[in-house]
Amino acid sequence: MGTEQANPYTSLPPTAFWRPAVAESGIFALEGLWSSPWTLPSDARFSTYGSCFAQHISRNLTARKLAWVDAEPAPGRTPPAVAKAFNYGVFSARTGNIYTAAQLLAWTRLATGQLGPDAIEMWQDDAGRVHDLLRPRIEPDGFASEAEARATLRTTARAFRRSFAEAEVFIFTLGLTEGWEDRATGQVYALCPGTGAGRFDPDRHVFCNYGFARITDDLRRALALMWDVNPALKVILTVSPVPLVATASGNHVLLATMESKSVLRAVAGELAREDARISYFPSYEIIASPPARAAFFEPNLRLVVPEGVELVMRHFFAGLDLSGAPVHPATAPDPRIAATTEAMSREDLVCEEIVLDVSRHV
Amino acid sequence: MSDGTMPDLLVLGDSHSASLLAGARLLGLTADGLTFSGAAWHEGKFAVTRAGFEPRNAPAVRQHMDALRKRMGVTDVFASGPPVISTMGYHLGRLVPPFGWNGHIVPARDDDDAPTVSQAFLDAYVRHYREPHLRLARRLAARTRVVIVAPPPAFLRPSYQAFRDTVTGLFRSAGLTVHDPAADMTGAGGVLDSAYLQEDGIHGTAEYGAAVLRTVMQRGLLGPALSLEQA
Repeated sequence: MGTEQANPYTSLPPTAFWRPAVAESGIFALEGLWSSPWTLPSDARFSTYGSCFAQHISRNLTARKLAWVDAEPAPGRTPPAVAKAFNYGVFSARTGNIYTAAQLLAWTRLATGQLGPDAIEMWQDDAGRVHDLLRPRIEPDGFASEAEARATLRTTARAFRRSFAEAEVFIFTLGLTEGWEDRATGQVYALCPGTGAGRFDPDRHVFCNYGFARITDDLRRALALMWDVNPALKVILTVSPVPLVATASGNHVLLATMESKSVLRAVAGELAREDARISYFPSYEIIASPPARAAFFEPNLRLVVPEGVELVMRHFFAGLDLSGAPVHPATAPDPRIAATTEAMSREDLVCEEIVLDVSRHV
Repeated sequence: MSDGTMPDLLVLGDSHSASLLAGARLLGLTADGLTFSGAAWHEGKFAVTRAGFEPRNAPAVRQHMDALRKRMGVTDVFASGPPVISTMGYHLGRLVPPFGWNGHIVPARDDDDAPTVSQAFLDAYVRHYREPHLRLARRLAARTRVVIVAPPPAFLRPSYQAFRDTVTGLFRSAGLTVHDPAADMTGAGGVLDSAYLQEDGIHGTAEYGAAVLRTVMQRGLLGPALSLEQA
């Protein structure tokens, strides 16, 4: 029996080998899947966007009292049910789901002024309601007018800019490679026109199954625009484990899903390797790889059960390094609240005097 | 006023109803009613029960209500016959400032980066806070003539007009009669002549109340007994 020659594998840790690290450990004992390459300040602020899976990240950040950037809060004293119906508090600005890198680039161009709100296509339905095709489901029933839709789009574009300008970390969950664009204008659509909003026109609307090169380029461009504004911004990319609802690729949806997730995973890995400001977090692997045995999917094999989300978040927070010194001053109370509260109290006094005067003279 | 006397007109509302009460008397009408603070209205300190309109969790208001019942000799005061003119439902001084705590204005202005919201959002926001008032107004309107009067258009401040219009729209879409003095009492500047305002610059004078009532009666909104010929 010969002794093994020294080779690059002999000095690798156990996590480099499938048997001890995966097969023998089991899904709940997996360790070392991710650790943040950066030491972040203890009060680091996180912005979150992406596909529907990304909503779990925002919820968990706030649940653990980390500084989640809400750059577009609802108006004061908005009832929770109203805020939810109008999609406040889901992502760091009211962008709605951002499924593709192309959409992210569109938003970043809007936020930095390369694209104006007037460039975004609006569609009017038979009831006269106007829908913003970059975020067609942002309001329960569309907008009253195009002017109104564009005004709120401007509000969100400014908020989106604030969310990467003021954050330490930008977390983006990549969802899809498939999308739709306008052949002539290049407008990217959040949803295929005709599915919920818009009217499908085969002469205008073209299916895009974005490939590795296009997605990588769109992400590089989007991030470059963000870094122009905030050079210190760190970026965490993750891939949603949620399969496609449907595919327009002509392939079986299972194949389309695997191709989509594979491309997105490859893009994220490539960008993380090439730029120290980017890290890849393995949401996809935790939920959808062999050790999970599909245990974290609902019976529909698409949605992720809460236990799966919890496991993903456990790895995320375990790998986060927030040991750096805080960088943000303590937040002073908003002077607007104090000023309006005082004004309301003064007005109450006046009103009470008038009411008392009335009661005396009846 | 002696016990059991029915006034020509009943007034129900917040501090803005004081000018309507005083205005009614300037017009030679007998008027009585209940006014309490916009804060209590905003907080929904009222209900409609079998005994009619009831203040809730406001002992001082309850005392005034009991005194009104005694003067009129009836329990269900606001369903006892006389038409009701009311300022309920607006109370903008409680509604608008908190809306602006995160910088929002509505509608958006071209020269302003302040965040804005859609009319649909505003409708939902206002409906949440004014659903109790809407229910009260509808229940009263099922029993007697009710005219809701919007507050005096005394100033131009961000968001106030939009909220005013939204409350008006909410009540009108529910089939209620709403009179907005802004429609015919404001000048080019969009605000009321200061001669119609008290020193606080917010509440109307008795003359203002009389002018509002005159218009309401000329339109026949308070019923045939309180109608006036158009001037």
